[in-house]
Amino acid sequence: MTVDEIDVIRELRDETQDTAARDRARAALMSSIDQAPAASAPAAVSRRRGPRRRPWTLAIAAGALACTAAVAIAVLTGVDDVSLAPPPATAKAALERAASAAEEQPEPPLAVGEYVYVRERSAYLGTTAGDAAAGWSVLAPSERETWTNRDGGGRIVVHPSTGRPTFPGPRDRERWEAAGRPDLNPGRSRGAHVMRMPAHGYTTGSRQISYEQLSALPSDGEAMYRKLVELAADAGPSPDQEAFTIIGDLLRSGPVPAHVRAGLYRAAGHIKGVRYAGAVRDELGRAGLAVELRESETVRRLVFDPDTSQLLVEQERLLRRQPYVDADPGFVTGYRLVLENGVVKSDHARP
Amino acid sequence: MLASVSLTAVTDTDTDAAAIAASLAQPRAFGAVFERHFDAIHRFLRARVGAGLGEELASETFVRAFAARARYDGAFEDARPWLFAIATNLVRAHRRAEARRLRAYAQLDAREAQAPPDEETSTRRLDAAARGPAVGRALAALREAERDALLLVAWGDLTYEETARALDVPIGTVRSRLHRARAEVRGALGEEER
Repeated sequence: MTVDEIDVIRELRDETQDTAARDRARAALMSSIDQAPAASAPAAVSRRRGPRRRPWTLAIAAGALACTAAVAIAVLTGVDDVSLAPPPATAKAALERAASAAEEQPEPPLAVGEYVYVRERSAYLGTTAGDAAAGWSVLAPSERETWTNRDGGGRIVVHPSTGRPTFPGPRDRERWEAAGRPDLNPGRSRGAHVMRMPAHGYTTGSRQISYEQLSALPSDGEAMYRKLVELAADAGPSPDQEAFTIIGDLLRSGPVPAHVRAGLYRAAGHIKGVRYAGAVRDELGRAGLAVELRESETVRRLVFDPDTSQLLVEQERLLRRQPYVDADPGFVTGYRLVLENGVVKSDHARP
Repeated sequence: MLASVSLTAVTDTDTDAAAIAASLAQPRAFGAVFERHFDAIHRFLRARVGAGLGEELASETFVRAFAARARYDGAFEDARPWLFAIATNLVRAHRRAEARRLRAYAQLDAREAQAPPDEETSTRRLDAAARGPAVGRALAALREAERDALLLVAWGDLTYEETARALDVPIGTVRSRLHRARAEVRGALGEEER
């Protein structure tokens, strides 16, 4: 018998309503309410637009970033498979180029009132809940804008209607059609979705760190690697895999000072299993170098511009066929493509 | 003819955001949020840490939410992700209690399915009791971050986007955590059924 694991877990939940517990909790809340003074309303959000300041704002024009590596360049479309020439260099050598580039471009610290703005396109394989023999998987791309301030707080706007959903294989499409072709991207009808990020610092593994702690991270690769493993703690499948995740998250969207950016690139070279995967070109025409880490079912890849130290793409691909998806090895199960970033003066401004 | 218009002052508590905003000046307006969501938060916490502590943490969730209401982002009409975020943080401070609860699921047996109110519930309870040990062990073996995501969906009934908001992580992170967690549970169930 095939069952859906979410439903199985849900069956363990006790559905009964405990009115006595509810009454006790209500009394506790009302006691708390009656002792509290009226609170003041939160300050209005500034909508003032600010000028672009950072020199590292990405250009999104096709081919704007030249790659000087004299190796074959493959196309990295975000959803298509990629074939690469045999890598001519080590991961450490490729990563050191980005680290050195970062250190050559010192930046002022993020000021109070400033935001790091990132616009990215992403898609992750979603699988329908229910009968696994009748379910299907689909990649539904969306665009997201994020404004992050020094405290880790800010604003996210998700635009769900920015791409055509893609089935991994014919089996998924057939099952979707058999189910009556339900809407694959129900978020489209709701338009942009706005979320507020609380000022809880930056999530690194199982810890939250402040901007000051983030800025104090080392530029040395070995020291940064040890620190990332410590921050990873028990998050992720393993400390090394979580460290790779933290590196991608911070390089992509964190207000990371140049020396920390350098340390993050160098630390990636200390993660066991990280290998150089060649030079690639993404769907915007930007050239970059790729390093990747193999996990149990997938291989995760970071693509970066070695001359500006900017992260361009994060991508996850299947290592081998899996029962939950009708796709061959190499199929892209998820990606995040950084389209634009920069520092702005309000959480509504764009570079 | 004009319809009659009530001149009584009305506090707008139609949405959670409106109730929370109103509670800044009229604190008891926050009661609407409690009435809407207490049962869901209580069920979630009872499933995670057991009945006694579950009730205590559910009560604490609303007291903390009330104290933090001035920081609530009124752009979100539905406060459930915010409330589940508070509840999840409270669970993290009681990991031993959660571990005990998960061990209890692992020791479930069919006797717990006695005296159900109806046949459908009976069948579900029997199925749950039969799979309980495998599910309990699988949940206990998950990484904390993956378990949080999975149980917000399964026991909190949150969508992926709401889970991302509750955990303050990108939705892609939620998807990957759920993907790994579901694979672990699926694997455990598969082993049990062989």
